[in-house]
Amino acid sequence: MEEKDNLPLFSKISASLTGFSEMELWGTGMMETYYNYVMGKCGESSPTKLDLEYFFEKAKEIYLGDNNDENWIDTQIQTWIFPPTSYGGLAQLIITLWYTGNWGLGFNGSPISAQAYVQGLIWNAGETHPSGAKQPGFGSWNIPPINIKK
Amino acid sequence: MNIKDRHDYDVVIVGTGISGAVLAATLTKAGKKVLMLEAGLNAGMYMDVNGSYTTYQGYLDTFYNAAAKVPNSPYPDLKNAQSPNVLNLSNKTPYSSPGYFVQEGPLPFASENTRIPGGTTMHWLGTTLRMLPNDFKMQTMYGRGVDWPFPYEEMNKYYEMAENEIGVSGNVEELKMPNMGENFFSPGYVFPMEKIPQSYLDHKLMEKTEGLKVNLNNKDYTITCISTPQGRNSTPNKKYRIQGVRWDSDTKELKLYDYSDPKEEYQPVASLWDPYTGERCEGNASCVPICPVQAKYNALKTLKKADISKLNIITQAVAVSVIVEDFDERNINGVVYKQYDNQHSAEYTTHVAKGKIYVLACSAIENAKLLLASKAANSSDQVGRNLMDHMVMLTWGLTPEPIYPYRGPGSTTNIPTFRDGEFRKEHAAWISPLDNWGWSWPTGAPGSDLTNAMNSGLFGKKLREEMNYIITRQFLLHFECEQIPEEGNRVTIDDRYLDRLGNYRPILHYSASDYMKKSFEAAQKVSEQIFAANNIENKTLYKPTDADYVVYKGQQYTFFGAGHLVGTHRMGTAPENSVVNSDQKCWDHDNLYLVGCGNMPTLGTSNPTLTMTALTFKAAEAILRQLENQ
Ligand SMILES: Cc1cc2nc3c(=O)[nH]c(=O)nc-3n(C[C@H](O)[C@H](O)[C@H](O)COP(=O)(O)OP(=O)(O)OC[C@H]3O[C@@H](n4cnc5c(N)ncnc54)[C@H](O)[C@@H]3O)c2cc1C
Ligand code: SF4
Repeated sequence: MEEKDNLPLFSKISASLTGFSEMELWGTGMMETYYNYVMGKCGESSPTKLDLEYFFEKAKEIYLGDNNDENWIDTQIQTWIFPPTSYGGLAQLIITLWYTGNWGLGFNGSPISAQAYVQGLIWNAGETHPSGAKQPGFGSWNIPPINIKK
Repeated sequence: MNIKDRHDYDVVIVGTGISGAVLAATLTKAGKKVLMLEAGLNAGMYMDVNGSYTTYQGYLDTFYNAAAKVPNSPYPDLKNAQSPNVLNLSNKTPYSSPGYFVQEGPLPFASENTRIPGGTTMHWLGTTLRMLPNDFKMQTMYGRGVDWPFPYEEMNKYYEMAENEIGVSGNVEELKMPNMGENFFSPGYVFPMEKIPQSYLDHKLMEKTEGLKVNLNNKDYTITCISTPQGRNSTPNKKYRIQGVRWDSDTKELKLYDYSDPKEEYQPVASLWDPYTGERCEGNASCVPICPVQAKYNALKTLKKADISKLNIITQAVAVSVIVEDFDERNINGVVYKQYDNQHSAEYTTHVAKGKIYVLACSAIENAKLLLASKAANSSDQVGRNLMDHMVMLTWGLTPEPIYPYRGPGSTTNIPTFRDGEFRKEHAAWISPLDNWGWSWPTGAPGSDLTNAMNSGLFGKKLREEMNYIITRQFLLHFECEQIPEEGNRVTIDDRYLDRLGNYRPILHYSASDYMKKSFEAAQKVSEQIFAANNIENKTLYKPTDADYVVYKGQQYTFFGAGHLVGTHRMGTAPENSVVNSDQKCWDHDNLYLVGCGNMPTLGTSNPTLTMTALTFKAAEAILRQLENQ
């Protein structure tokens, strides 16, 4: 299997897990970096290479079948992908990576790179910007954020 | 002769933080030859465009990559000159590792400083409030602590110098504070720059908090909210005419002087590397621990203004002690320091720096430690004692409507109502900054909110919505309670605890008295009423695992350190009760001065650095007088 074969699937599943559209995710410029990072991180210990393979197999079933209904997809993810007991906890690691740039949950995580921290989606979700980057300009904090995305 | 090879320094200053930098700049501009010793890395001292930019971007990159973005996270962690770190805190006192401080307890001392060029202002927040007149006479007014050796009125000129040097943004007219009196500011006085705009959340909270009547222990108070003066760049105030500070050798005074040309006006001091970066605060919301554009004041900006033809700085030079050759002879004969070439190696060479006058500017705890190690300046037995900090009790909750935190400087508004009053006889006073950065300090939000949301089963759109809901409604209130001086809260040394270079590590003894505990209870009562008026759902949760907490009348109150290291070499009226006199010269030595917050006899409710910087100008004036009379 080619290294990049599952990138489109990774993009789809990332969107379902994070609640950000594929376009928004690609917009961070981090898609390939994260895909490669996750591929590299799954190894001997949990999540293992095998976890990753099964993870993509399941994702294939969900996204490449005939059913495109969002609710159905969500239920599938909730049942098979999201639980911390599934695939070595891969789903929550991926969500955390997108939201914070960290690999590892909670206080066990740290940014995989400076750029990953800066591109963390948690700040977009909270209608702000990463602390220490993407400065919004003098006085911007005096009014509500203007880039309200709903 | 090149300044670098000189051995006839007028003044040797240890430390390049704001206190050392203000001295160095003032003294060299008055023509004096100054040597500075600095424990931190040489790269931190670069002032040229490329050097300063490269070093600073390195700090920023380290910050981005840090797992926990605590105050010291961007800066080098030096084994040869360690900095204390909040990550080393634990409530299991006594403990001696990890970290620089040995924590004897019963409570760990939770504040830290930074040992790098520029010192702790590299990561300070930059709040620059003045102390109140009654703060200078706590004993007379309230029977607590001690009086200062001089009243507020004597500080005004030096406050103006400090506000000029730091570059304060603020609105004098808005600063209505308890018992401030008629002449708190000089007539017509303005700050160098207009106030930093208050945040959206400030305005939302003020709608129901400004003018709110609260009751505390059967007395009514009216809450007011005012914008906070701060050392970060804003729009220059055209009415501000002060250009700077200079030594008048005829009258033997430091004087403020005005722009002579009416067309000239105050220029915000931009970043070290580019005059067009940092001219205004850009809203990076990371002032602690690092302002990416250097719109916030740091001490390197002052050092850059020194006359470098008169200044020599030796870096990677860790002071060990001052030399007192003969106890009957009142002079200090040198500063011993260990210089290391390589931060990753424990190798060093030992040297002695010599000058006519010596100044320790290493921050309160380190200053006290050096004096104890030298057996100097301690005939009063006050060295190391009366360690103080603001004990910061936090309360937090969820607002009904979005208030959009995590934007702008850390705090732009404060509640001054409880900064002074009769209640100071019973319990500590406090100031309440409204915080702009959500619950990040007490809970590790927003990262912890993500963990909580995932733990409750949320992913996808629902997760995003939940994150939006919770992040945009986070409100945090501070109660920075004024710790009163107590002899037992102190720094000591012991041969058992040495660092890698064989220098003493400070041993800290620290506790919270009933006077403090009562203020936590009182503050909770006020918090409750402010939350109720604003329909804020209280989410405050103190845990038995918190590093610093007390139990009072069956209730736990957690507090944090404010980063205010104060009081370890107090200034006073006589050699018996204090370490330094009102010129900040040691009573015991004719040529040793101490600068920094260690001199402050009491703390007040304002963050201490503005007051300390004002005192440092006073010390500079005394040093210049002494040099010119010799
Ligand atoms: C998180 C945080 C936020 C803060 N926010 C505010 C605020 O908003 N407002 C406010 O008023 N104050 C604030 N403070 C406090 C403020 O930062 C300090 O009061 C101030 O920076 C102290 O200046 P200083 O020059 O006395 O000491 P420092 O800035 O600590 O400088 C000491 C210098 O001495 C050097 N040094 C230390 N030991 C040795 C040695 N043995 N040999 C040689 N050199 C040595 C150090 O490397 C350093 O350069 C804050 C502090 C913290 C931690
Ligand atoms: S808000 Fe941003 S730009 Fe302004 S002082 Fe803080 S870090 Fe610097």
